[in-house]
Amino acid sequence: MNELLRCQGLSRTFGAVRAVCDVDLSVSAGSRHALIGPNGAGKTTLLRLIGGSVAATSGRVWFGGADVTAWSQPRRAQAGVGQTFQHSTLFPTLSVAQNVSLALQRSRATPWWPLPRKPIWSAQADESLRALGLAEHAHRPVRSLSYGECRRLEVAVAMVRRPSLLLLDEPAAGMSAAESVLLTRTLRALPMEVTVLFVEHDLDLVFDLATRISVLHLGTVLATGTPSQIRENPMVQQAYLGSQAKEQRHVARA
Amino acid sequence: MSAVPAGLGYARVSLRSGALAAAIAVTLVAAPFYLAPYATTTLTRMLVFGLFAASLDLLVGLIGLPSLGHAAYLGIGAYTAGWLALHGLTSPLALLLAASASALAGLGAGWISVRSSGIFFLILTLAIGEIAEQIAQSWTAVTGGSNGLYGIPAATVGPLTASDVASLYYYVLGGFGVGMAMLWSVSASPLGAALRGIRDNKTRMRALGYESTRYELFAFVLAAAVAGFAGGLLAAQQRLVTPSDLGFTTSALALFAVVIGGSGRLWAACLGAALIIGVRDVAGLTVNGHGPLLLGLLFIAAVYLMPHGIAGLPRRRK
Repeated sequence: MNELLRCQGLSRTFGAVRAVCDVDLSVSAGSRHALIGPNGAGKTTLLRLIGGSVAATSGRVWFGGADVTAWSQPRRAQAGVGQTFQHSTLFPTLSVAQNVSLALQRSRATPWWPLPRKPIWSAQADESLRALGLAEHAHRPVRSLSYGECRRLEVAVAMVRRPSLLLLDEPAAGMSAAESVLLTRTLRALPMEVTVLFVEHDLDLVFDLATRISVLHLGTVLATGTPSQIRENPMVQQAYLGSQAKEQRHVARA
Repeated sequence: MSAVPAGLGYARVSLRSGALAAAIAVTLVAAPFYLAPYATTTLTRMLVFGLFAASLDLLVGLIGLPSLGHAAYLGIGAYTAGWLALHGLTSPLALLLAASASALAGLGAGWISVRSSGIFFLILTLAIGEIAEQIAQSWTAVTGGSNGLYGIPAATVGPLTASDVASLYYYVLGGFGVGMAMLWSVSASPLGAALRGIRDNKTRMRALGYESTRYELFAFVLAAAVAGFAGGLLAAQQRLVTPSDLGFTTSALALFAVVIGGSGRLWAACLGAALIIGVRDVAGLTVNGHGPLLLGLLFIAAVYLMPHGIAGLPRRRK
């Protein structure tokens, strides 16, 4: 399979803290690639380095064959990198449809046209809202949505421009089980032209959706492989999956 | 093409707002017929200052960049139009050249300023405004120094000369309409929605592909151009331009007008500007010329009683 994204020796330090340290990562076009690891492993920072909202201290990022290390976040977005954030960044006073329209507007040829005109909408926008169960809420202001609905809208906004790489930072955080299933179904139904790189703590969702998984620990990549390879990897068991299983057992007992 | 859902529409104007705007327009057009000449002159000043305040609101309210040096562009426009009139160009072309000169100055100043934010943006704009005032004071050959440009000929439109109170009023009202239409068209367009998006959440807008700095620079240049246009009207109205027209006090008054009117609504900035001119130039006369004192009291009262300005009052009552 073609490689869509490659990180080589990617590092980011914040003062004395090495959040991401010499990471090599390859993401194939069309894959559903998960980044997992304990809190503080550097997953969100790595996504930000790829999205361009955080600059790398060292190392390089290639996207679609081009070295995008020095590209700004908007330029990467224009080149086809879509992303959602851990915490909602939607516009609370705008309606669901307006939030989607703002994303669509930038992809049009004349975003600078400074005159009122017909609102920008597309079949793709309808499809994204429908896929995430938000079509009937298009008129509602975002501040009236539930937390789970906001999370789904975040994904819909990122999907609406059909990015070639979709970066999702904990898309299912705070969702109910039913919403999480809907999200998984929607992401699985995305065409193969859309590659998904996502950070998620819900391991059921990860092993259900991912075609490849990279495990991060203390800012470095501990292992990369298929879900079954990761599940059986003893290093991963010790560093992450073991502790997750223990945690889940504690919760079950409690 | 799929159907546009409900809840999407940036340029929707309700029937009530449209009717209100039409009523205000008719009232303004008829003003010289029912107002005394002094009141008409005051209204002319309100229109000029209102357009200037609305141009600042494009920065403060629409994209969230409060400037303390916006009068620099009003002054550059006024000096440009005044200088051109003194050299024989009294037609509305002088207004366009005044707007262009201010836009050019705004491009340079904006290129430096929009890379900063918060207190640093305030300080930078203040510093640039002070530099502009110093240049106006010292470049005597062009600006007339501390005396300013005086004896500016009346503006002309074809064979008509805006020399009496009523014709000058209509000249300024026409310019006010053009300037406000330009600001409104941007504010109500998808571009305006993008500017508001950058004001509210730069992180998201950058992730959507919006180069926020370019949009901020665009807003800065447009606001400077409209301020320069208002400056051209100021030169025609006062027939005199002095360094104080681009000083800090003028900038601060415009910011005050935006705050007291309610930032984010162009009409509210005009209302704030009208209130300031009314208090300073009309009510001030009744208390032995203590207009600035009244303005100070008004500002304190507005901060406590109307934190969202005049535009926020209906919302507060609900």
